Amino acid sequence: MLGLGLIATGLLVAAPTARAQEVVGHRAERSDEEATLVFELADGDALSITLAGGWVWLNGAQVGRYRSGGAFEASWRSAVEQGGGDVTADLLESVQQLEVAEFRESEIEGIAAVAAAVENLFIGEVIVPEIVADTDLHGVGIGAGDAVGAAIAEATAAAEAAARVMETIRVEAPPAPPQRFVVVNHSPSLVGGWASGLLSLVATYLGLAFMGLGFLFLAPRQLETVGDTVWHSFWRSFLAGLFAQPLLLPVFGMVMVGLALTVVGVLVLPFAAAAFAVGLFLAVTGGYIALARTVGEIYLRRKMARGESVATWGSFRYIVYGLSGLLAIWLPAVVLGPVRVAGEVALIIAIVTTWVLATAGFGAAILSRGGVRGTFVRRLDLALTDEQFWTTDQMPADQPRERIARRRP
Amino acid sequence: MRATHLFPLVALGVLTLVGAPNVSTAQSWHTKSLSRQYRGERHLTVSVEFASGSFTLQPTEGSALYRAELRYDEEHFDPVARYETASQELHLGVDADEIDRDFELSDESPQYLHVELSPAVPTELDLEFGIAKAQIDLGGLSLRRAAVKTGASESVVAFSVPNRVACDKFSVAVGAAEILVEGLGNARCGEITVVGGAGAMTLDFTGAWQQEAMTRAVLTVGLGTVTLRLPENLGVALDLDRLFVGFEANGFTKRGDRFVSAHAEDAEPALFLHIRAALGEIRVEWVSPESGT
Repeated sequence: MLGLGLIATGLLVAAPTARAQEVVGHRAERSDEEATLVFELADGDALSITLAGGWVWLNGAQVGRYRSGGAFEASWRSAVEQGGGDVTADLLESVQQLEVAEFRESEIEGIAAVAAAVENLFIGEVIVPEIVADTDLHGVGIGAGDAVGAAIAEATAAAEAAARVMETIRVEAPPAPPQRFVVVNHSPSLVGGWASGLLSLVATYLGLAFMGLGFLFLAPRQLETVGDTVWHSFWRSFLAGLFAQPLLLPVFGMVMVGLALTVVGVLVLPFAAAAFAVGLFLAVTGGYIALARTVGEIYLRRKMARGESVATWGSFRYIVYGLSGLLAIWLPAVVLGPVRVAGEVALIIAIVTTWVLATAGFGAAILSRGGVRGTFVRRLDLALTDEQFWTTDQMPADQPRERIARRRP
Repeated sequence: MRATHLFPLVALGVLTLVGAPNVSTAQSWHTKSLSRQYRGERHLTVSVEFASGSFTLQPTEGSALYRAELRYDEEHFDPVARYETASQELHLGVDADEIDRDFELSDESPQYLHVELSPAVPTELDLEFGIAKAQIDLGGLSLRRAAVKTGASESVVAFSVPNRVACDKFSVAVGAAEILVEGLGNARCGEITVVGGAGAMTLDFTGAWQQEAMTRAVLTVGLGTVTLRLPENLGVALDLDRLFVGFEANGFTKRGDRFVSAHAEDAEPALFLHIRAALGEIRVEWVSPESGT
């Protein structure tokens, strides 16, 4: 077993005596790949010692080799780990008294360099002002601040005086980080990113399409009413959805608090919370699907108007086409996803667009009371009907439908 | 409130598009420790930003200005451990700005930051956590100002013994979290502000109150429960602005719009509390002065 101090003593016999350097702090970093110790010196410089990748580094320069997993590395790591969390004085002492159980000839150069580097480091005398906390504060003014100030002034004067008489040696080379020996590339492959994104998009599409099918079976008229509302009063629906969003949490809170105030209400609290969540989900998803249905309907009607043949599977076809249109905005985000700036821009555009559309759908669901009220749906376009010509009297074209119907022969 | 939080469809789209399979979740743990000797510093400004894991802070013993140990995942976080000698500023924590989008922050992470500060140096503190468990003992420090911000965390902030110097302001901002602030009577702060989003807050005002000192505390709470632990011998004046908030004026007497405690009826109150709360409940517990921290 050989002590680092003994090695340093041996070296110092032959070498000119180095001047003492005061250490004021330290930094230590430990990982599987490296163990680094940086002593901060009083003159503002630092001494950095790193064991990494089989090399001993001193202020960024290779000074020798060490055996990975060997006794020197084990002792060094032990000293750094044990002293790392402790005060600098203890750490310096443990490094200066480092003992290496066995070492190879090839390691001597590195060990000697480390020993020489730390040999003349010392911790200066530290005067910490004695601050007596006010133990009985009752009836005592705030005097501790003055005590702190006086004590600090005294300590500062002592430290400055000590600094004036202390001779220091500059560490010539500034500490440089050692080379990294492990480079890990974490960037995903472009194909993997596209495939994953496309798969997610298709899954979302299928999920929404099946939900649309469910809405068609269970509430076809309501879906149509919500769709008409969002299409014919888009901005009104959007604003309704926008203003409703910040109110959701307060409304939820009010409902919960209101229920909590009564005995019966407390019992139904979990059900009310679940119902609120389900209602919100249905309103948002239903509104979005209703919008998709209307988009699909308009597209297919225009196609039919051009005389093109359209296979008929009812309203579900509208939803399928509409969702294709609405979700197509995500395709650029998927394709350009791995590209640094363009991918982020496309993603933001897709998020904002989808948010606007779904907010409008949500607002339409609110305005139409879940598709029950048709206040904001499209009005009957008399130009597309010949009902008014069935009347015997001359009827103004803007009369309500009910009156027209009554006068029908 | 961000609209995207309220809109599951967008969240679904975003989550599915940036799906998990394409990103590595490997972890590489590093431990960084640092310490500096006290050398007559006149003040210290400490700034901590810690995204996830456990955080502890306490006064140090001995001659160190500060001591800190940080264990962090190098794959997802950048460590911050820097002391600026000229300005006497200490910056600690982990920077999570560049983390993978699918990486889940957790307060159960083995990542941790332990900090010890010298009681001898007047200190200003800015602590900010994301999803973290925090145990902070500010008692016995020389604290001039302190600000604690937490996101979704379980935090305990305590003044176990009196602050060594008078403190201008102590502020706490809580997102959706549980927080316990103990021994506020030891804080010796002229102004205390607490802002809570949603969650449970317990504010313990026990401690060594100064006879001549006066503290103003402003609590603003969105949704949640606030428990006030007040020493029985403390004069307290309470102004309350509330909407859908349960409050039992237990131990208070109403004087105009203000609630006052028994000890504040004859003498000037030592604590002026102003609470603004929207939804939830305010509980008051009167405790014997000896039971405080």
